[in-house]
Amino acid sequence: MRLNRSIYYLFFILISFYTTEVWSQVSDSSRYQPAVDEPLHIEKVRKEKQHIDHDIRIGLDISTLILGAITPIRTGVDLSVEYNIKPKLFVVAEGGYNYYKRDNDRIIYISKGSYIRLGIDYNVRNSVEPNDHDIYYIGFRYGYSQFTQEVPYYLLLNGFWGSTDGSMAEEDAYAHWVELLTGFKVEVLKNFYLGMGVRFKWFLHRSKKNIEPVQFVPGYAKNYSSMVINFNYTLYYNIPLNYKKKKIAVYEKK
Amino acid sequence: MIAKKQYFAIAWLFVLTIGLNSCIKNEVCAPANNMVITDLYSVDSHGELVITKIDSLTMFIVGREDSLVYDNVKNSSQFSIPLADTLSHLKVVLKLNDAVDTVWLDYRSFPVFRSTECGVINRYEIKEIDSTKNKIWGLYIDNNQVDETKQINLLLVFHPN
Repeated sequence: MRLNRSIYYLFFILISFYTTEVWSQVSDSSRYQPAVDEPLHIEKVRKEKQHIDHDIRIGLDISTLILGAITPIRTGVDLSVEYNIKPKLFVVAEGGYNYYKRDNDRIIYISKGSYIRLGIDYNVRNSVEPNDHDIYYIGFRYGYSQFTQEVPYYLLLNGFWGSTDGSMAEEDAYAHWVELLTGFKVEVLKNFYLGMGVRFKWFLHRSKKNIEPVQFVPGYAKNYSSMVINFNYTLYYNIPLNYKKKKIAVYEKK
Repeated sequence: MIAKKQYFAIAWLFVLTIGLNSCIKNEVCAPANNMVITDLYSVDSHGELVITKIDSLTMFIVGREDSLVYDNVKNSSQFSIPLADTLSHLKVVLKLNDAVDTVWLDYRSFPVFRSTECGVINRYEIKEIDSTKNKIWGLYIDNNQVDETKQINLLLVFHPN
């Protein structure tokens, strides 16, 4: 009886040992890790679209196009690009090429060249609706133009000796100026804006040569005085870019 | 909101039209001047210069057909010599009453751009003058710039007698 009991205990111990060993191997193969010191959740990074009011707006000054169509005096293209670095603050780059020609029986004058204007606009208007993107802005620009001007023909009237003609050779010129401006941009169709503004311009410096006073500086205007006032009428297209990818931490349970 | 924007678009076009029309500007152009203006002087009993008149003045320019500028003009205290744009030297013959004198002018002309409305004009600079001394006692440059201001350029002084 005592032997039977001893055999029974030995058998039980062997079975227990075997069972523990086998179970241990099974646990290793399934990579089971007890959740004693492990976090129950793991961190996962996911990208998600979030609405932020950024705009890239491309503008075309249509007054130049209309003037070019009505009269051949002034032709060219004036483009602008603006981007809001803050909800109400826009950095603006404008540039273009202008060709200006006055032709009458006494003179032919040509001024042509390119220009760039850099500056900022500040929107002083508070939107009244979530999708209200109309703008009333004030701004500042620095402008630089490199151009040529020439008088290929002029007529000298002389009552006694008779009239003669002449020409003035093409000469390179440049000009720097600053502008203060204000105006509206109103979204008339989705992503399309009409803009109207007024600009007050002052020369900082410009070259002075034989053809003086300069009659037309591309990007500046006709030059009749030290300060000029220009109106500009611009059509804008807002590139739909009103979202920005942003990394957001999301905790997920596996 | 849409109606407001339509109104704005109409107003925008309206102001655009006005703004484009306002670009037209008329400019007043001062007439060019190519005349050397000369005042006539004589010397009074105190030896001072006084403006005087001459009974008869005839002037023509040598080297040009139909060059008569003044033909027996009466009681003149001033005359003008027309400068040529393509020359730099003039020889002028003056018949002052019964005396005849010759005047030589050396000058240069230079074009001045004014504007696209007013065109280009020539201005002139008198470099040197000389004359015979029959009726003329002295000929002096008072202002060597001949331009639109039309200031007196030369002083011609007759003999005291």
